[in-house]
Amino acid sequence: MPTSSDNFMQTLTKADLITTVETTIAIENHLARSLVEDFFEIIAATLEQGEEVKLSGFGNFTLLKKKERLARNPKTGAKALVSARTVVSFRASPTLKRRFEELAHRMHDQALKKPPIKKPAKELAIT
Amino acid sequence: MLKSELVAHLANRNPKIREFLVKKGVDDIINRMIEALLDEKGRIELRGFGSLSCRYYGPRRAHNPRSGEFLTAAACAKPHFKAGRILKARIINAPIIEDNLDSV
Repeated sequence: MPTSSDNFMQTLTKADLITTVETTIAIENHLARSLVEDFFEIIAATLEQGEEVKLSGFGNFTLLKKKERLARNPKTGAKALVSARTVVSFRASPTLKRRFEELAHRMHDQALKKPPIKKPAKELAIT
Repeated sequence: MLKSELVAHLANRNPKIREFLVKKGVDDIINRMIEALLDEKGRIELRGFGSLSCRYYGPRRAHNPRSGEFLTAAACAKPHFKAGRILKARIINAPIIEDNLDSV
């Protein structure tokens, strides 16, 4: 279970990205808007065609094939067949991973009073 | 598709913005997203696309299955992407092309 040591969260939205682009490359608002919207639209359209998107320094949007499976409605317990499908997953690039590691250490230092114990995952980051 | 190809596509669709500015814009979008995920411990929500959030996993007890020795696995944090409803629906029948697996 993911936990956040901090309840205060800010959400970055498309509007924030538009403002960022508008100021950093000094273009009109409607051009910045179309740039940001096309950015995500091109990624989505590429994935839709079955091609993965690799953004160096950020990460890869990869596609995974899922087989048909039986699932249960957790509320009613009724079985339901989930059809075979393709899903998207995001893999952070090595540079981003490293920065997240540093963040984890900082967050851990802040949350030292109550270190939660987790079940071991498949890949262990052992110090 | 690589970042350079994405920039080329974007430049095509936005002829009013010069290509080097498109390139810079793409880098700025990415950097702003990284900044938001890391420095504000926050979330990114993109309507129609999905959301990215930072998941923090505290340190935990792990053990080496071969030696049975107990270790402490360090705290880690990972970015997590959850596809939005619209994107999921668009992707659900996507074929998977394996051709650019080795292009990085």
